[in-house]
Amino acid sequence: MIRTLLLSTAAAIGLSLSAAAQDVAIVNAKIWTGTDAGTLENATVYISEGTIQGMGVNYAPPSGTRQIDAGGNWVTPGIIASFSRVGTVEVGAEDSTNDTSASGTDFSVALRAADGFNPAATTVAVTRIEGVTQMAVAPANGGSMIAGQGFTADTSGAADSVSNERAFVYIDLGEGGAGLAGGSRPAAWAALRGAFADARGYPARFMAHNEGDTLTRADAQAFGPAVRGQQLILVAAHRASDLRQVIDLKAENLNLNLAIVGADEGWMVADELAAARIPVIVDPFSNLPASFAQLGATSRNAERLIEAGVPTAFAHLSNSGHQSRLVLQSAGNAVANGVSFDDAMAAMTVVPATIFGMEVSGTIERGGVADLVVWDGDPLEVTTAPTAVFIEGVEQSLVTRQTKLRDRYLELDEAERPLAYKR
Amino acid sequence: MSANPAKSLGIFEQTGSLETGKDADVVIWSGDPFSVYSQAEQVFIDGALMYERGNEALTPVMDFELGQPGEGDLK
Repeated sequence: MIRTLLLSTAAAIGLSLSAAAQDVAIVNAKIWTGTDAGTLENATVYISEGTIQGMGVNYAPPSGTRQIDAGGNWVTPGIIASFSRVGTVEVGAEDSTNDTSASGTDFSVALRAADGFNPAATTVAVTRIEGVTQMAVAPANGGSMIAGQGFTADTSGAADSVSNERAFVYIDLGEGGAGLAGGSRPAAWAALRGAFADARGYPARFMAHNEGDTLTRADAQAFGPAVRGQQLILVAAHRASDLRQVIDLKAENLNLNLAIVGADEGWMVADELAAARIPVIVDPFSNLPASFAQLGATSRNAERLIEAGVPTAFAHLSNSGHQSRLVLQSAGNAVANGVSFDDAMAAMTVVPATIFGMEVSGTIERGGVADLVVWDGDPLEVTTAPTAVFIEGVEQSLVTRQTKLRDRYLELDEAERPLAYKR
Repeated sequence: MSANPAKSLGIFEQTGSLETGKDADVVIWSGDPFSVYSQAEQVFIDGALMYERGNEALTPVMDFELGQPGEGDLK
């Protein structure tokens, strides 16, 4: 009796799984693999149970498998938005919908951006239909240079889409952080050293009192994994001298897992970054002296960093709550300014997957998670779009609030009823 | 980006399209101007070559840049 019950339960689970993640073969595809296999023309990739079960130019999927004909077009790994605030803000200026930062809190490291994530936010689907399947979401700085902890998530919109709710600690060590620390870079670095001491001294130094040099008891506890090198620390900085400070921090604490976001003047210290093995997340659009920390901004930054051997990811940093999807256009601009197509693709797939230790590899290879995108043309062109998006083997909806609004007003005719009746 | 704004500004008689008799405001592109990979190679204003990609003599450097990191670098 029990045995029968177990079997029927297993069968029911099996059925529901197969309904969600269908077997499908994408044929006649130009596959950018992200591996040593390079780009495969006229190839097939077979997805089953959420993973890539087989692929290749002469690969034949099991007979009877549903097929999607890519028509010779590109198939790429799902794109990764390496720096995003998607799902943590709906309307930026409406505080009740904006969970990116909190200027009135006493906490810093203990703040988890994942606590404010809404997978049903309109921006999640809007990001997904551009081919972005995974994202690293950072908190914004409210009252502290240490904004809190960022998370990684997929863009399925599902309740379980957060993959690591404590993926990294985000710290601003540029002009913004200096301002929040009291008004100068020395103040920011003194606060950072204090925070390291608080975390390393936890819980002993909190026996007698609740406050550390920089952190509260809860923050010091939360900072523990990062100061021990068990959690990524993502530092925002642009100016070459600020980047050298971060390189020095790594030299003094070799166990730290550090990455830098911004780095407009990264090309000026590219060899040092490469030697220190510190990866960077840059925005290839950022080519103007928007602040005094970005005087050296240039369209050649990405090319020079990659040339020097710095692991380089791309992001679209402006309006990260809504427009991190534009990373593909940023990558196209990088290619126009000297980066190879392969390096630009890696900067949105393999490199960020490695930086954030994601479950996806940013590649298309046998045994890997089936996160991939079928395109109607060159993925980096602004005039192309995905025709199919798969996350963990599940084909995703390409309908969003935006496409619905577009379709409602696309053809204005003499309807009998108001447009609110049109879906 | 060309004819319509020129009409809005009331200067379509002078510019906004390539026609005999109009101002020589012309861009030479490396490819399809709508492609993300394309660059403006040469920009003519009133017939004068005012920008040429890769040509230092035809890449203006603002006062703000002089003596600062990134002076004259590709923007």
